[in-house]
Amino acid sequence: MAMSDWPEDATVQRFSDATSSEGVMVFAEMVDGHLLNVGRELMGPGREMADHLGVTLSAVLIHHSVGDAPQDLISLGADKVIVVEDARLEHYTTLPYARALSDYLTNVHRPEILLMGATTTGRDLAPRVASRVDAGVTADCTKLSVGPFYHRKTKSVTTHMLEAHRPSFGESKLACIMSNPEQLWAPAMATARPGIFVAPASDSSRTGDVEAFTPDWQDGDFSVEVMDVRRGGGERVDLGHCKIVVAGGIPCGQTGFREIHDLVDALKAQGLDAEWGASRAAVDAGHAPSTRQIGQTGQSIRPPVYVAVAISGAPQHTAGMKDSERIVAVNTDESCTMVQSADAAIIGDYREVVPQLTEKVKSGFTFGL
Amino acid sequence: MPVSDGCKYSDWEVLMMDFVVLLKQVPKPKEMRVTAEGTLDRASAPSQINQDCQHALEMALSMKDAYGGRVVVVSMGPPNFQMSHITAMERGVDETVLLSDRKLGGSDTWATGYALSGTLKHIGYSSERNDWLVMGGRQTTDGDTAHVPSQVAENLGIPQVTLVETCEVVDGSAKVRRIVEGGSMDLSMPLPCMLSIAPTAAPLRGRNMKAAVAVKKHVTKDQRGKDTFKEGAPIFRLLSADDVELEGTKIGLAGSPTIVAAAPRVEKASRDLQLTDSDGLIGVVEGWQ
Repeated sequence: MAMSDWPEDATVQRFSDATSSEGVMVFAEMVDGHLLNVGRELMGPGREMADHLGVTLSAVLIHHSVGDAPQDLISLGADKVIVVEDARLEHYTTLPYARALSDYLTNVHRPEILLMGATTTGRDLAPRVASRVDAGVTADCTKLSVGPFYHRKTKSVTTHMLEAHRPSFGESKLACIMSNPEQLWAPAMATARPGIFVAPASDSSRTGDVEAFTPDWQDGDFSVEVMDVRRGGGERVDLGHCKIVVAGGIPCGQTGFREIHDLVDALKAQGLDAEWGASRAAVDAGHAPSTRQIGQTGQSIRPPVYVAVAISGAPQHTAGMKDSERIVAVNTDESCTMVQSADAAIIGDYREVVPQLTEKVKSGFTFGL
Repeated sequence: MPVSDGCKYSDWEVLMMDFVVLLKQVPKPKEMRVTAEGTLDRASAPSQINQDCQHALEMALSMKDAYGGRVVVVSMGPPNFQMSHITAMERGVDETVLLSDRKLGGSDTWATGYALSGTLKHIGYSSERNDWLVMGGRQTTDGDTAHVPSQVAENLGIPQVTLVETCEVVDGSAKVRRIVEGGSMDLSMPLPCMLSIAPTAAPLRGRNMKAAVAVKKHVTKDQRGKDTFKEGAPIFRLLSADDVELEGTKIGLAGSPTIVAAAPRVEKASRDLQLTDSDGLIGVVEGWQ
């Protein structure tokens, strides 16, 4: 980066020295006893930055029961796992999670970098913690790195700072957000979009420390009560590993997604790792279980081939699939966002087009896979 | 008048609460231009109430319909935010408050959370009172962080729930439905509290003629011909950073813990769209290898 050019008489300080902080920390979210993928993914950039900085990588688990998750995280590269277990932490609410994290940061150890997944939890928790412990936070990052920043006004260079990159201005720019040299606080926090980073290979022979931590719970931390939770029933469907995903929008509900199912069955019969998914609108209308929802509040995926059937391409949906290697759109509207951002598009009624594709697949067409 | 889906009647209980809405005016997304310096050209772009804030405004108005009370809009931004305040008034808002000060320019979300919470405290909304709640949109189209509601709540020391689709007040608690991955959660929270409203909540209602007539007598045109409140209009308060007693080290560019270090332009993922039919797709796919 050009910012590393600075005059010889500039004062130089390291971010961790200036803020009395050390280490990289990842908040690894758990839901229903399972570690979310985004936590695994963040061990990738987390480990990389920790190695670059020559510091340790820690992970934080906050849940009613963490099970094997500490060893999972150690196998993925954590040097240390901090565990906050309490029966009242089964479902996420802001205040107890914020208490657990901020107590640890304030009373035990302050890392120089703190990462979280940009899930509904991470996007709620990160800013609350940032305001409580006085820290800067960057939302929805797609790239994380470490570098120096030269501040002209004070003629000072701060090195080894988090560079949190995020798309902005309608994705036309990639903004690099860093700590303000005039308000230098640790940790530098960032949330990262799920499905962007790649989880490191797991090595079960790795060893690390597990540290139990009990926050100083305060009156009111549990004042918000969870009355009911409805997460899509049925099996957990992980679309992240598929080679090809066929997703249907709300119009496909007219025929009960039958054409979508037939196409996926035909792809599977050809030996392909194929699955079907749906837009949030189709899920809300009851045409598909929420375990198959793709988008901002569903799964974020980037398969080699994504087939979008009768999906117009609302930003909430494209956030979960736009990094697919190849996108094929089937739609009646040539001007819709999905068609305009696809590699290939077939303009027509899905009830005619999708069965034609199914026939092609049955005769050996596999979308190049 | 029917109440929108966002809020249900609760035995016609009259609560006389204040429903406070954090509202941001943003450039119309499709008409945003970037200046030569790479910052957003806010001055020349036509503006509107941020999309998600419109849902928050509707939620507050429908709660007022159901329970009585007042809707108060609070914003931080340049004086031309009054245009959106007038739009909000025409839909039934009772009072608007604008924190406007050059010293606030360049504030990041941490500093914005501090400044907005200071404004709420200044006009009387504290965690000690339980006859109010505050809501904001999930996120803004020009900032896109979703941070501010959480950061205002933390500074006020009140509970929060983000991504709320529906809300009702029952027996002194807010009962809300929150969107989560793959479903939703029902939560019960004490008052006062902060809600950020999901884009799937009810859309903003149209102008109410009675309200529009009532607000008209307080409105005039500024030098650029834009709607603005008359000086001394009793329904509008313009506050400075000093009025609200904000600490100078916690606001504006210098008071913000984050800065935009660089913002290089990125080429959009260049997908070369090929329109085809199901026969032609085979050839198109062969071309990908």
